[in-house]
Amino acid sequence: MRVLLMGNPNVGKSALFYHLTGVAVKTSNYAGTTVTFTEGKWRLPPENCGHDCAQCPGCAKAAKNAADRKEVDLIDVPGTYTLDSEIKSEKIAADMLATGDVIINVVDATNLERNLVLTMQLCELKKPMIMLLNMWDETQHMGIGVDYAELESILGIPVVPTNGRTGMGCLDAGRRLKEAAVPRCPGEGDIYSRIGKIVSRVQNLSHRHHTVRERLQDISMHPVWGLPIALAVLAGMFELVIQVGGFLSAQMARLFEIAWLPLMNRLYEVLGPEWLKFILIGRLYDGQIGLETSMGVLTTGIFVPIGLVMPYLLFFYLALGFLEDWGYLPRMAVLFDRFFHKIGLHGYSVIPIMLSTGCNIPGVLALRNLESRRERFITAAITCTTIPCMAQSAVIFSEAGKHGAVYIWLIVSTLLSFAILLGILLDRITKGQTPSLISEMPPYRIPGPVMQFKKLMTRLKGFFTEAVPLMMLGILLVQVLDLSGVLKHMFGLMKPVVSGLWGLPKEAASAMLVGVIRKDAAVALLEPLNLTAMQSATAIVALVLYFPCIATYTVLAREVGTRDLLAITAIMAATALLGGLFINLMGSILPPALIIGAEAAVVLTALAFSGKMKKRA
Amino acid sequence: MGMSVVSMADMAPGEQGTIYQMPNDNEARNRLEQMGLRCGVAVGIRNRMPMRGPLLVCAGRTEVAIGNDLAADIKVLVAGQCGHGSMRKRHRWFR
Repeated sequence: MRVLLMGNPNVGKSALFYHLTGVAVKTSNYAGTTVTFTEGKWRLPPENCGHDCAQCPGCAKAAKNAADRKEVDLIDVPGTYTLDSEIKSEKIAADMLATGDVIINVVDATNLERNLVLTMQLCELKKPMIMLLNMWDETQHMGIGVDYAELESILGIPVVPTNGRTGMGCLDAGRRLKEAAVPRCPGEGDIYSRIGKIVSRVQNLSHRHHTVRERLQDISMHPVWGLPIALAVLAGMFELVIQVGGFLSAQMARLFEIAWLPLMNRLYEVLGPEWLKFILIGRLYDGQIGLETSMGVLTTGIFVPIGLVMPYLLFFYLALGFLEDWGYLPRMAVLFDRFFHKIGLHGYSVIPIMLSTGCNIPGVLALRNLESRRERFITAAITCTTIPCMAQSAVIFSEAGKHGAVYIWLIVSTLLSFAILLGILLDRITKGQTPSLISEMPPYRIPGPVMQFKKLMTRLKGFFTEAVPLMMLGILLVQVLDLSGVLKHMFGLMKPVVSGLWGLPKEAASAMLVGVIRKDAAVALLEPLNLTAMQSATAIVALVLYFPCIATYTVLAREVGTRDLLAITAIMAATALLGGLFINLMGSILPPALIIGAEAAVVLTALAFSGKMKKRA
Repeated sequence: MGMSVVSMADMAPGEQGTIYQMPNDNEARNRLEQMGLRCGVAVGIRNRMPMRGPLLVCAGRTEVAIGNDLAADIKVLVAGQCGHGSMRKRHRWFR
């Protein structure tokens, strides 16, 4: 039997899914966290337990052990407001409907009126259904009373109060699944008046005072203070990641030197053939293995992802997870909406962009929440071209940071300028208009530590299973190409661009090559080249702007289609050429601080000018 | 004090009214209606972002952010006089 979890966005379907199946899926506090469906096995609880199992841990334990429990397939479907939507993730939801035998309609109990719209549409499908009234704990805080027995008798289907954070009500839901029935469609008239009648029968509101969280909501959306607060939150988040991540990364480097290096030295002695040494351990510098520089699969291939990147990633995901669950991201969408419209984006583009600073892949997947193809295209072009992922940023911090913080700022401001100018340009040449923002603001919620931990683990697991092997593969490829002499050939081919336009030694071409597989590995490859500060800034900017890693590229191809992919590829090639050339030229005449100033001036003029042009049109 | 119809984009933070007319754009109207913003629904402006930025509108338990252009197409019935001397005037800076 296939059971679908369906409901409005941000009602907690994924959290319930986790409690029902034990399969950890990403949950957050904003509409559109789930953009694709996840399947899991839901083992129904044993019957005739006779008391309130939700309150009884022993019962839950017994339920876990019972061997003869029935299993059903449970599918976590992306949230949808309606079954006839234009948004891609919502279309997926509507298409999923045909495949399910039973529907579990998850409803936000604090907002019945809005949630019942989808319920009414689902009623018309004449499929067996049960309803879960999620966020039951919040109804009590908010002074909302919902008479679920009454709702049950109106709709003629089981209605179970649940709490996605604690898992309350999940056993009940399992026990009552077999009572699933085709719901009655009560009342006459249009859908909203029918809903109004139902709500007036089952819901009663009592007065209450504003909570601290509601005050915080108002302060963070204050017309004057909102934007400074958002910028401070972002700056604080990245400062935390850089400081704490950097500290941990240094400790990891020490740990690797104590524990891993001797092992590698030993291995170097016992390994037989030279080529195997070269691939696994890499090149020695003054008879020493360099963890970042040797480029062996077992040295650099292990150290860069685990020792260098993971500490940053860990703290980034902790901070991001907190912001997501707290409910801040959609508010950032509102605060940045005005500015984003100037560069052809949409306030909600903030979510793909924020996710991309962690890893571009979830960023690209989050494009599905954007309405039009135009927004998806512009957002994809900007994020995939100019936003470095945390793995890249980690290496950039350590690589460019050696030459002084001003070079990190130079790289950041150059990327940002390119993002804005690219946005203004694409906004002009892409047909159509960015639609106005419509976005629901979830209330602030205190993140549940268990779900936070689960989410962090899921993300780190993704990093270890997908990024780390690719990283090692990238290094393997370089070493093999180097050994076979193909690399030298490629240096020759790429020399006009690498040396001619960007003013880099021709060996930097190997970084460009690896950049296709893993960007962080590519940046690490620059280290043995002994570049000057300006050269390394040039190389890094070119590398970031240049094609994304292969994994992002495949996901991007699937999400935007061939035509847009080709366009984005052309944009990337052009911006990479220009970006490298720009820093190479400017760097030879101006100090980094002045380049940053020049970039700021250009961007501000362009922003002011584009506004004027639009008004005239 | 009579009733008057104003564009939602001209309302000030704290002002309340009843939605009188929804935008013509079907897609936007549908999305708003799904979130609970329909003709006859009581709404209040919770906040608005400066420089013609989005408005935060609450309707019942739902809080929705609406872009300024779209809000201009939503007409709201408010109590009191409109235009001169109203609360809106003080918030000219936001427009």
